[in-house]
Amino acid sequence: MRKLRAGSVQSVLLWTLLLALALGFAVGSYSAASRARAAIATAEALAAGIPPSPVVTAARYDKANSALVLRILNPGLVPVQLIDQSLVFKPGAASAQEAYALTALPLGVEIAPLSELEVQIKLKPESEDLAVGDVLAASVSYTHPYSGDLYVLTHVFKVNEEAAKGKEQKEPAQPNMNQPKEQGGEGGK
Amino acid sequence: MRILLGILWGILLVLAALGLALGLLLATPQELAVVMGFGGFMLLASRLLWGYGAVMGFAESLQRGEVPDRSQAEAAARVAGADELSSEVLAGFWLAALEPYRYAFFAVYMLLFLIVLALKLAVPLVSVWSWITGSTLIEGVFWGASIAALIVWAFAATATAQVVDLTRKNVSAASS
Repeated sequence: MRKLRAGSVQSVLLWTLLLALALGFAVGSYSAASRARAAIATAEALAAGIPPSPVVTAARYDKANSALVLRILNPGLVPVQLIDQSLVFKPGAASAQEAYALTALPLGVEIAPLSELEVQIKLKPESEDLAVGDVLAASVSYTHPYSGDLYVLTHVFKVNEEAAKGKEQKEPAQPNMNQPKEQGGEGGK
Repeated sequence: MRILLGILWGILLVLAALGLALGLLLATPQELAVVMGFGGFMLLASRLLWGYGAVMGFAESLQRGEVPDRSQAEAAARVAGADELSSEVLAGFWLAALEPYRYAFFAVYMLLFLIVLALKLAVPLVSVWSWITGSTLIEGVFWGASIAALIVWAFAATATAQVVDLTRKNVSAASS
């Protein structure tokens, strides 16, 4: 076999193959990146058209400020304007406070896209502290850029022993619609 | 039989045209830029590729000890008294005659490379990802041109290696 020296036909062939591999990798990466970029742009354009729907992820009783604090997530890609708040209080057996309702107290908060915000909903001034068994229904009305309508989000807060001490009550995670675990109640048992 | 083959050939052509059209429709602008750069630089390189291909054929037939047709070589070498030169020397002159075209090709390729490189000098700190992967269309033209440049380089290097081999063999035969 002939010795492989620089400038021979065989070494040219070898170098060409090596360079072609590197070049193919580069061109393929460039093409794949352009496709990924186009796919992301399409997905963003699609998702940006979906109207946002705020979700209460957690709630707690702020004893010092005498307020109900809701943690609200905006899962959409456009901002949500919180316009005003309402509160309905229904006393439990242990409560000395009478039932009351507060309506349309101005709020004026904006939740940025894909972010979470804590919103304080004041209880009725000079009312008693919350006791176990009390039920609060807090409503927040909101608008978003895709509609001139006013939407209402209502969260029901049941006061148990932990909630009365001010511990945060987390809402259960939203069901993953791509992986249904159980359907139709107790099917399969 | 002839008609059947003709119809089959026609179907094949129509399918090829459809496939090409579909590919171009589904391609991203960046991929079209790659195709454009490749096509444009192959056009620029066509004279070189045909020239080097002919030199390679000439050198190969000489290495096999055949007597090649010298008419194309004599016309292309552009040297006075080409008909009196030996075939090995004529191959060297033919190779040298292609040098201006190779220079022109790589000059244009280098210009494109410098433009792409200059655009890369400003690193956008907000989107490093697009800097790495390259989003400008001129970069796609450059990558397509690089494929053509690699083919030209391989042809030129192979033809040169074959002519050098030929000369080496000649020298060793003359000295022994």
